[in-house]
Amino acid sequence: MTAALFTVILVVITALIFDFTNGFHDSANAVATAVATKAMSPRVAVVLAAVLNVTGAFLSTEVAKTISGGIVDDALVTPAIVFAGLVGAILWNLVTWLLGLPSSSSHALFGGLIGAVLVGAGFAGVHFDVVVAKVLVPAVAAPLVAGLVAALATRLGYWISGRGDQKQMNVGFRYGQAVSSSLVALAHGTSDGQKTMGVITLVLIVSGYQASGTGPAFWVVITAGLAIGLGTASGGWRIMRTLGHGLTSMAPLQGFAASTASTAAILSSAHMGFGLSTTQVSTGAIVGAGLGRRGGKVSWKTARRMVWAWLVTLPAAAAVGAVAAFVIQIGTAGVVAMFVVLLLASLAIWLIARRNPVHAGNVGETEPPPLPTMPPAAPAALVMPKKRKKKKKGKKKKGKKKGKNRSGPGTR
Amino acid sequence: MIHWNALAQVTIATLISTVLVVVAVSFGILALNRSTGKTLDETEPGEVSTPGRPLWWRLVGYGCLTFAGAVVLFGIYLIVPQFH
Repeated sequence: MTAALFTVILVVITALIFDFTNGFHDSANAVATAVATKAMSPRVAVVLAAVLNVTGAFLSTEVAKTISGGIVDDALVTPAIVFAGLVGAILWNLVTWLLGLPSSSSHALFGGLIGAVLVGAGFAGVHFDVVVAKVLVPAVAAPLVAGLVAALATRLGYWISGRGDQKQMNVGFRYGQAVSSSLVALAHGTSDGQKTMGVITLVLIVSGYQASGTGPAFWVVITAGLAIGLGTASGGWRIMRTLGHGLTSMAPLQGFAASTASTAAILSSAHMGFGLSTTQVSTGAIVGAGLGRRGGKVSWKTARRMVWAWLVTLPAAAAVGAVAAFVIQIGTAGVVAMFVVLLLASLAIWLIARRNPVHAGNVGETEPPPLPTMPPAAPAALVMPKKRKKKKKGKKKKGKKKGKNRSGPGTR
Repeated sequence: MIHWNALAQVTIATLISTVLVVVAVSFGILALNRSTGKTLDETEPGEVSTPGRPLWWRLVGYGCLTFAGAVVLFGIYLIVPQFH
């Protein structure tokens, strides 16, 4: 086996690990709302999210093409540079996960890749115009659009449903929420599953196994879809527990409107090849749904913290990617060394997380997470329960605010 | 540099599909609520039943929910290249 092929295989494995952590990290977020409102049991929710993740990965390949043929120049990039970028993304993801920062896996991936390419191939290696058009602008626009639309939909929904019996309507919206939040899992598979496909395709192109400008091969689509689905299936419990409690401050109608808007925004953006962060869009939609309700309040303090995390992720992951790119310039030994660092870091995190396993049996328990961390502010924790008048008593029991410290979109 | 056209399409698609789905589902649930005074599977004794023609409301309700489902499926159909 040549050193080049060895590197390619290592990158494919690393990319799939990244995909696994992505599913592990994010996708259960969507369905957790439905668990919180008891529209679905945790077991059903996790399996459904995993299956829809895999399905979603097959829907489109536009985002994959943005990565494999857009943001970097495939004539200047080598497999080792892509590997350095992945290392940057995964290490940044693991660190933020441990610290509980609500960072975006997608921006970590873009950042890591950009940083590594800047060091490994110079400024010419990065197509900054594509980065702006397909990553930075959508990163601002899509959450705003999702938020505004969710606010409008929430307002309309309350206007219509105000004519019925609130308690009974809520039961109906809970089912609506179960369906719409499952669709977020589908959209997540489409949007984030493709990022891994893009990276694998990129490395196949730069190492000469695939023609420049082509989309992902079928086996790449399948393995990426399965990796993200497996991640969801294995990591779901922990996130369900973390999220399930912070999220109850939302009424079913708000949750329904928010996840519908997220799904629409993510799927339509993915179709345009925009490399969005699913987390950011969902957050925007949840803030919108919170504001859309008359008298609704949003925790701007939490929102500000999330905005900071968004701003920091891309450059920080780029810095880690750049450092990794320096190390791999040693040659294959450098690549192996980075891989070992990556494995050790993952092992350490896994050991910390293992101290307090979460599974189907105790997912409903309310103990705070074991880590001395500040889990990412749960998107839904942004929405404060409002003080309600008597006539809306059907929703009253859902309005209990939990400490924001353990309401994050899952750090474990 | 900025793809205004694509951004506009995303905005319009998100707006139309979300509003259609949320409004249709809200009307559907409201209609089902009117049909029996009880929604879907939850019935509680002593619940106020709304007067009206139950069958008619029920048809409207399921019609709205089906429409919402169709909007979702159409949206997915639009983005899958294999269907075109």
